[in-house]
Amino acid sequence: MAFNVLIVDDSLPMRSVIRKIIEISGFQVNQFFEASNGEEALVILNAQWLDLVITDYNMPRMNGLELIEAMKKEELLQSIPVVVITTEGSRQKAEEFLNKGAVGYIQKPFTPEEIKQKLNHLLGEGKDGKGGPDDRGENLDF
Amino acid sequence: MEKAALMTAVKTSISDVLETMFFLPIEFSEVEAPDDPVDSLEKKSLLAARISFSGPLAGNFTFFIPLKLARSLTGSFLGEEEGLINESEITGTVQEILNMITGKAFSLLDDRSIFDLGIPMMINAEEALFERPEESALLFSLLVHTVDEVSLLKMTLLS
Repeated sequence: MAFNVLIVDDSLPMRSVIRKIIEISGFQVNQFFEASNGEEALVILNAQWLDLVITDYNMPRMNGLELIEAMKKEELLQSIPVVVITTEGSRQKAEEFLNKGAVGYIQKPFTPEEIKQKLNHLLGEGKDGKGGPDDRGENLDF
Repeated sequence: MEKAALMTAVKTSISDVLETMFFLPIEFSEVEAPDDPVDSLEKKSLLAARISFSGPLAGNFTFFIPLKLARSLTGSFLGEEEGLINESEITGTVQEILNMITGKAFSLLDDRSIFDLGIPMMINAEEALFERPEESALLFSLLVHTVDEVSLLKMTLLS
């Protein structure tokens, strides 16, 4: 099964890099969508079916945390798993992301292998053959 | 806050970012008189990005990087030939490098506190190189040496 993935980051190069890492990692992605802030992401989320959102935290207009909060208020969006990829490194901030509903947290700088391993759990490409969108409510150990 | 602790965190962060994501070996040297323009920089072809921050420390970091090195790093980052790279990809990469260096440095310095980072912005390199911070501010500068290029990180801490 192929998935639809939304990448939200105000950095165009970072969106490209994340997208390429997912592509070369062999995940079966049907379509990538991109947004440069939370507001743009919500427009896409309300128009498309998405299986996974990967978002930066620090963005103009609407940051990643505000995006998660907005998604949790929408019945159709609240179960979509969100992974935060950010430079924010404080423990408090990491806990805040998870408490607000993110299923994972990756700190920049990252290696392609880190992204691959963490997305394995969500996109069902893990070695044990388990996982996938049905597991989206699982609180993963990122 | 000790200068030595900040410098250690910043050096480790720069190494992590440039070596982990860009596979670029680097060396450092500190600038003796950080408010003087640095002779070793090729000023005409410099790009500069700035990010402000607040929290336990407030101020800004400004990263100066030669265009040639920025283009090369962008190619490496995006996996594209340098001839195909456009200006917005280069400036976006420079901004992202500074964003990662700053965030990582503060998490190394104190991962129990929250530092609020601003959005990195491109600024005029020559003006930024010669500008003087307010008298009460602390200014540190760090030269980042690669094989044939030199970059500079200016750290301004407001009291």
